[in-house]
Amino acid sequence: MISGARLKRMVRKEFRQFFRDKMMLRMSIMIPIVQTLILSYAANTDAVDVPTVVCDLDRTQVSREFLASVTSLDTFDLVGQEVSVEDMELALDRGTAELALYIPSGFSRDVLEGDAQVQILVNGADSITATAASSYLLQSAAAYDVTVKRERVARLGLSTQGLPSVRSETRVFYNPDLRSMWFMAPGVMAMLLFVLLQNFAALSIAKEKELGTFEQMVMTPIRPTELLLGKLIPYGLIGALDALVIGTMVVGLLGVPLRGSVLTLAVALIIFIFATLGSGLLLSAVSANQQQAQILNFFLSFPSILLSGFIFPRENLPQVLYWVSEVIPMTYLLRIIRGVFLKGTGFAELWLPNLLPLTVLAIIFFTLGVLRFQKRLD
Amino acid sequence: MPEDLAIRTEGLTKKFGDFTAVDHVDLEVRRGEVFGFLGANGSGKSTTIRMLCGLLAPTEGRAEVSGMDVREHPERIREVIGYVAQFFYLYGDMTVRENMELFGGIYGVPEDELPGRIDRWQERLDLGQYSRVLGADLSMGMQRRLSLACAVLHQPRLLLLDEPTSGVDPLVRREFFDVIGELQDEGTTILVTTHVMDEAERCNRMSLMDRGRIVAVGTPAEIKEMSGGRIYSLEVRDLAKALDLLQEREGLRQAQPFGRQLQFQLAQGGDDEAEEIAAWLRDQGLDVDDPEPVRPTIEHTFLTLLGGSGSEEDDGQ
Repeated sequence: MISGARLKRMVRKEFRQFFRDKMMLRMSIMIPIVQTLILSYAANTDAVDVPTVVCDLDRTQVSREFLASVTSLDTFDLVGQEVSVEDMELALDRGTAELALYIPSGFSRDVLEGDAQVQILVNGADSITATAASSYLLQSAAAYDVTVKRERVARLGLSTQGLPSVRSETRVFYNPDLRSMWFMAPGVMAMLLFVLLQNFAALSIAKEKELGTFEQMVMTPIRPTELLLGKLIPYGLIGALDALVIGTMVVGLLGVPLRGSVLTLAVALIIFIFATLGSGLLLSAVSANQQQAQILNFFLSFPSILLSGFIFPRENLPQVLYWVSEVIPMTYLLRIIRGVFLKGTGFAELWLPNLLPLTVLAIIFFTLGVLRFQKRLD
Repeated sequence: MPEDLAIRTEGLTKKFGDFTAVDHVDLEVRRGEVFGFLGANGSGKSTTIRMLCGLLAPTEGRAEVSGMDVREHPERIREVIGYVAQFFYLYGDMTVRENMELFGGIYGVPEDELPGRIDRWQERLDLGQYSRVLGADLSMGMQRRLSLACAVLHQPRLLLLDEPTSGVDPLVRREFFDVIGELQDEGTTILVTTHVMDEAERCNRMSLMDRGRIVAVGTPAEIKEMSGGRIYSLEVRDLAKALDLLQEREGLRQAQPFGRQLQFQLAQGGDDEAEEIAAWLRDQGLDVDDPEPVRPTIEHTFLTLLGGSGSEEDDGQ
């Protein structure tokens, strides 16, 4: 049914128009490069240099020792030491500090008696930093606790050898330093491809409707499949090129390890590009003009970013939204891309749970696009 | 369908909700003729054309183009049709030649024949020197020629022209109709929508559409005969006042300004009745010359049959 000659003409036309549109060219080259850098560095959930104030009402050798051992990490940036209780609360209110450590008077005595308490105050408004930083603080406090106990036991002249203790040691697989860059950068790659391509596709047919060229096109014997493939093929190639550029940057510049097979990654990206263009063309087919297409695209992009697990774990989603996230191509690509990059997951393990659903979605979107795009005006 | 018909519709109807855009249209366009498709804006012309191209499904009735039913073979019909839209709907960011290559290719002109055909049409429509100019940079007249060129590369059996000469100068218009004449000589059937009356004169036959119905079909001469009563022209100083007065008077079909003159059509009678009207206007204190008889034109028929009912709205899409 598809005529190779007609398809060839359409592909050539789209390429021509793409390369003549300086804005499109710039968008498709500059945006991925700049955004990869910005987003990968910005989307950083590591807690470093968290502004911290200390309110030490004990002011003894013991409390200072405790403070020194606890706050020696890079995580904390001491912006105020030995401040009053009022100033401590003020610092949190004003946001000059995200974290406060409160040591009550009598701390050194309590340590000796074996029941010392300190208080950690965190700014919950920025929960990512607060959680990360306070957990570091808790860890160091626990470490101090063990050290003090061991010293006491040693001072009594006993061996610390048989001291009962359970130490849980966490070993993080795939990303041992828990660097959020490693986690985010592959996701940023997926998101950039998604935003760029869905936008291109969504605007493409809507633009032709607006300019009237669509009216001329529907009068010709061109088939809907040819018209859609004619747009999909050039955009897909541009998308693949973008994927290559972003991928190279993620590995070469940001130093994220690519542990899996490049081929598996490429196959996944190609299917994803196809699915994204398919959904974009579907948007375009139902929109009367570019503005409508853009607004639709805008509203439908949010779920893809928020529900796919790009930022929040999908496991936290309410059941209904979890189901919604199952029909979002990003969901599968994120799992694949993170798996291939960090875990080196292979094709065999990815095929059934991720690649297959992604392929099915791609086919569904494209078919819906063709069906919706009947050359009918009513 | 008889061999000699390019288009045939029977009871062709299109409704959009409660609105009937095309109302039981029976139309026969003979093979090889230039057929004028006349009617005011919103009378249902575009809707009819869209049904003929299979872009809109008829609500009722049937339509055949080149012997093929529009419901069953829309794509095959589009292969034998060439369509020139009312506005420049080609690609402004592609050159003249690139546009021709694209449309020639889509219409299935064989690869090896396409360059030759493009050269011939570029020469024929004086587009040669603009070959590498972007569509958007062409003058309106040149854009029209390019639209025509893109529509005829595949040697269509039926050429549809939607208001082909709106917004172009008389020279381009004449040239356009010269080419249409040549295409007709080569055997192409041409359906042209227009509301420019001297274009209608150049058609072999025409139909007049009003509010979704075909109200008249015939040759230009036959159409003119349908105008009814005789028409006179008057030289009058205060045109506006004379028009106001004539609105009140009985025995008149219509009265309208024509340049600096006033034209009116009698319901019946001839020179005596016309003189009577002139005398009556003089009695009302107007400075009026003797009435001169005027030969009826298509426009007169148009105005008589439509009775000033033509709405200005666009087709209900």
